[in-house]
Amino acid sequence: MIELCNLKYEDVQVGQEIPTFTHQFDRMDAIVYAGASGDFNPIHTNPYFAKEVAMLPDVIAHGLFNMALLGKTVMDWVGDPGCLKKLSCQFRGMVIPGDKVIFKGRVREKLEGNLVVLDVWAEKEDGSDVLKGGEAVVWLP
Amino acid sequence: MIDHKWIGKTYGPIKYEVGREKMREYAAAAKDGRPIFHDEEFAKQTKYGDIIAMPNFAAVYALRGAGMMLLDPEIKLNLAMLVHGAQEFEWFTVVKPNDVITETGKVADIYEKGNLDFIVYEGEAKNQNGELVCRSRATFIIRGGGTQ
Repeated sequence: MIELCNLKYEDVQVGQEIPTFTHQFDRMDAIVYAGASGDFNPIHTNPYFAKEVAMLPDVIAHGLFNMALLGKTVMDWVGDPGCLKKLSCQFRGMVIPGDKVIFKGRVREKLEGNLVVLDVWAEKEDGSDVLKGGEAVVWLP
Repeated sequence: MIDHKWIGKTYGPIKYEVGREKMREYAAAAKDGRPIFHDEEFAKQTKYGDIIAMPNFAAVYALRGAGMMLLDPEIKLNLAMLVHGAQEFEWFTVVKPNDVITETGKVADIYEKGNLDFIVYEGEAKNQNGELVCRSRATFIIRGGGTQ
């Protein structure tokens, strides 16, 4: 039997940072995500619509795409996706093609019942917010 | 301003049949190539016995009622000014190929802050065994006023 979980509850320290994940957003990411998620809002896929109709600087990444990358970041740390019990965030900054986004997390609290609460967020290279006020809860053996 | 009388309005039940390739497609679109999302032979050697969906796949199976709320012809939200403000998912069990998910949801809240209108959707997704799979809460913001 392959064990997916990389961590033990007792080994996790409050204040500990998890490995970051960096992704440079490409316009094709949004087209692929639109197909996979079913969200075909043209602000994500059609540069003409995004700029001329929605008055955005360019097409922007789906908020839920960024949130999925945040989930991946936590799962990369834990190993077992089934250990992720909760994920939340606020969608703040727009991400346009070429933007590099860094996904981060830090252990905030250890609860009874082997639950670990993390602050999670995403920011651009200049430190501006992409995902803010996020929380992840994981269960660890 | 969005009429507060819509608080409590329900959507669903909405059925979603989970397809193996759709699960893989979602994980790949989210840049997640870990074998438990893609490789059955690998998955058979784990406690899951088959591939599982990326938890964030809930964006597909647990927010369909939110889509109905946004397009609700009675509420008439001003979609041109709408942004997704915040999202919360809580998971209770994993999703596997051929699961049949049933989602029910409601308008959980409507409120204002300055010239921003907020409308909140809360949904619950259960699988074919009646087990709770995911709870979702989505907050949408309408800039400069709520309805058309």
